[in-house]
Order: sequence, then C-alpha cells, then structure tokens
Amino acid sequence: MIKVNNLTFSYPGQHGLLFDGFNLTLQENRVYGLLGKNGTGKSTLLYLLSGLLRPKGGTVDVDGFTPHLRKAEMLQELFIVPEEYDLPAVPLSKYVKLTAPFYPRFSHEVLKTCLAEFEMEGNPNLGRLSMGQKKKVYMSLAMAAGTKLLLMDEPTNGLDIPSKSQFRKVVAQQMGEGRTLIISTHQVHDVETLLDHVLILNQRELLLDSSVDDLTSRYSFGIRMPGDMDGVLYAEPSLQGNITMALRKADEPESLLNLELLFNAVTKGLVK
Amino acid sequence: MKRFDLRRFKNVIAYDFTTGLQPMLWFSLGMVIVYLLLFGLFHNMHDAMGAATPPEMNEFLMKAIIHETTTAAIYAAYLFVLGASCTIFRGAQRKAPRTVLLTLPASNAEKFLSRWVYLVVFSLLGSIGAFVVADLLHAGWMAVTGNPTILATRYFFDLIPNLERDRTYDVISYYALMLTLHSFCLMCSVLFKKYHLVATFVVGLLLLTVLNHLLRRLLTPESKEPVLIGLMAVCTVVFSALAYRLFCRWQVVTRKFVNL
Repeated sequence: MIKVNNLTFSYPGQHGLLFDGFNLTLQENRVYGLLGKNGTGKSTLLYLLSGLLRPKGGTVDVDGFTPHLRKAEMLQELFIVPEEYDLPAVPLSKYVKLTAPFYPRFSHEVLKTCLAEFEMEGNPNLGRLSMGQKKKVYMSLAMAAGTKLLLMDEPTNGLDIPSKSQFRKVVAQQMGEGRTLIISTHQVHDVETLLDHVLILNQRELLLDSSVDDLTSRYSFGIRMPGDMDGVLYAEPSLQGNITMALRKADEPESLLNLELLFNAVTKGLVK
Repeated sequence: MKRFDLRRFKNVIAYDFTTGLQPMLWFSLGMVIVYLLLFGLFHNMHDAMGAATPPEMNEFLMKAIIHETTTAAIYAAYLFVLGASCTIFRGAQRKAPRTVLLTLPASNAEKFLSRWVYLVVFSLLGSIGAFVVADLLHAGWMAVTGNPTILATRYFFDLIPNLERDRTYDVISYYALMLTLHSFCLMCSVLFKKYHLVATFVVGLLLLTVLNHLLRRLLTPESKEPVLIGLMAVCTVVFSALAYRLFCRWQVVTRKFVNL
C-alpha cells in the first residue's frame, strides 16, 4: 500500500511549493490513472513515490519503505518507465542478462510474450532502436520484472497507433494479482479502458480520487441532441451532437467512462 | 535488510562495466594516441635539434627520447587519472541515465563502490595500460625501422615513488597526495552537474590557496611532513565521506550547476 501523508515539496531553487499538505492513499491490485494539467505535479508525484525526489516535509510510505532512502529491497519491487529514459548500446539479450538478476520475480517468458506482442523480434542493439522501439523494450522489461509497483509516465507518448493497442493488450495481460500500476498521462483515450481508479491532480490537491466502477455507476456518458440535455453536468459539442456527462438514472444501463469528458468536468469544478 | 550484498554488488559491477565498456575503451585508445604523440614529439624534437635522424639514431639518443617521453607521459597519466575521477559521474548528470542509476535495485553503497571500482580500472587502463600499449607499438616501430629498441615502461614505473628506492616520507606523501586529489575529484564529480573539470580546478585552487595561507603560519620545518600527511589523510576521509553522502542524497532533478 502507498500512503502519502501531509507531503510538502518544491523543486530545488524554485519558489513556491508544488505540493503543500498533500495526502493520498493507494491500494494494491489496481491500475491507477493519474491525470492533471501540465505542471500540476503528476511526474513529480511518480518521482517522489520511486525515491527519485526527496520530500521537503511529510511522509511517503511505499509498502513500509521510505522511497528516498532507495533501499535495494524497495527498488527491486518497483519499476518506473519514465518519459525520458536511456538504454545502453548493447544487444537486448545482454541487457536482459544484466538487468534480470536485480528482480527476484523476473520472467523471461513474460518478456518474450511482451516483445512478441510489440512485434520486437531478434536481438537488436538497443543503441540503434528508435525512441518508440526503445519504449516497447523498456515496457516489456517493466512487465517482465514482476515488481509489485509499476509506475509509467506518459507510456504511450512516441508510440504509433498499432503500438498503443499493443500496449493496452500487454498491460491487460500482465497486470496480475499483487501488482499496482500507476499511469500518469495526458493521452487519456489510450488508457481509459485499462484503469480501475482515476486520480485527478490539481495544484496542491487531489480533485478526484474515485474508482471507475463508482464513476460509471454515478454518471453516464453519451451523445445527446441539444433538445435533450436534462441532468447533464457537462457537455462538449461534436458533429454528432453533444458529448455529455450526466448523472446516471437508476434504470439507465452503465456506460463506458469518457475520461476526457470527466477530466474537463472535474477541472472546471462541475463534478467533485 | 542488507546495506551491502556481495551478490548484488557483483551484479552492479557487471552492469557498470558492460554499459561503461565502450567509453572506457575509447578513452584508453585516446590515451594510447596521446602517448604515441608524445613519443613522436620527442623524436621530432631531437631531429629538429640537429641530432641524428631515426635510422642513425644511437642508443644514447634513444634513451634520452624514452626518458623525456616517460616524464611527459607520467604527467599525462596523472592528468588522465584526475580527469577520470572528476568526470566519473558525468554520464549520470542527465535525467534519463540518472533515473536508471538511481532506480537500479541495489543499495547506494553498492552503486557508489561499483562506480569507484570502475573508476580505478578505468584509470589504470587509461594511464598505465595505454602507456604499455603505446610503448609496445613504439618499440615495434623502432625494431621494424632498425633502431635500438628500448622499452619505456620500466622507466615509467621508475617515476612512481616506491619504498625500496625512496625516502619513506616521500613515498607516503606521494600516495597520500594522490589519494587526497582523487577523493577531492570524486567529490567534485558527485557535486557538480556541469563543467566538472573547470569547477574542480577552480575549487581545488581556492582550497589550496586557503590551506597554504593557513598552514604557512602554523608549520615548522620539523612538523611539516607528519602534519601534512595527517592533513591529507583527514581530507581523503572527509572528501570520500562527503562524496558518498552527496551521492545518497542525489535526486533526479537538482539545481542547475550543483547536485543539491
């Protein structure tokens, strides 16, 4: 379990706090979507959870560990796929051989499956891969590492259209029991079918912390004509009519979550 | 919870050496070229001074060239070792490689020590290993061109103080100074984010000026040597401890020029 308590943080040399008295609790076995406007601290939060940044005040607890102390026992249960990353110019098999011993549950079988899903074949030299290909390798390694906590910062940036669906398939297949995934992204449509829980971050506070089940039971998402806007909380015009988010009626079937609409409604203060 | 696990440490060593093999080989190759250029320079200088041209070169002239080259080479080797110490963490100053380094599942002690081992091997390879290779190449070329063949490596090692030949204080002072400089450069490598060589040189110069100013008043000719050796030992420990402490506190985003 992850517990962030009264967190205070600002970047070195920067005036003003990015987080001030921030609290958050995350449960195991879930896929969290971390959303927020630019500069609201999504990546920062991931860095704080993975020990890459040190809080100024408050506590961060990841399964009983203080992340910024970077204990090996904590790091072997955590894998972060950052937005910017580096892979050395060595053949993939060599890199796997170097990395795998660090993770007690590393699975070569999972790695093989993920790479095959991403259509990455052979034993390429990592230094010669494109950014998108590197990302696929990195995400395959992340999945194969078998860590309890997996953090992904903008995982679909740089992926082409088929790769985005491959990514969803890989995550859906490999997110087994005991694993928690936190995806920070702006590409909401790329991940909305994967999520169990939505977190919307605004400067210094959490605007929304709700499960997808809860959201789809409370709200309905669909397209309505301008004359049929009863109970609509938020709408955006489209060529087909208005895309709407409304309070769900008791007899109404549940609809698929429209994350973009939800995000806009929440950040405009229309939904809490 | 183990702060230092030997099996994990071996894994970090394997990781550092495999991912760092290319720069190590390139820099060592660069040093081979530097040493060969030094050989070439002193050959050329003796030719320019009107001495015998290489085919008629006698053994005496050859020894002079070897001697001058090794003297210059040992300074180049020192500069290389200090430069390597200053820049050993340069590769981890960008966000991406730093993220990989900091999240690698090993303790800070294992990662730091592994880098240090890498640095020692890197330094030995680039300073001594590269000189031996350059010397062999030079000797081979001399042999092919029918000149006297004298290996310079023995002279190179003679320039490094040792207890069999030199005064004990001199030897201890020499190694104490080397360790102090090495630990200072290592600390600067962890502290500075950019311009490592310049920043290390400037801070080192300032520190030396201050120390010189303070010590000149305090030291007598009798107390000079033991006090200086003691001071260097203390500095080595302090710089190394600071380097490790700073490394443990590294974050992925820090100030522009220093990792604070």
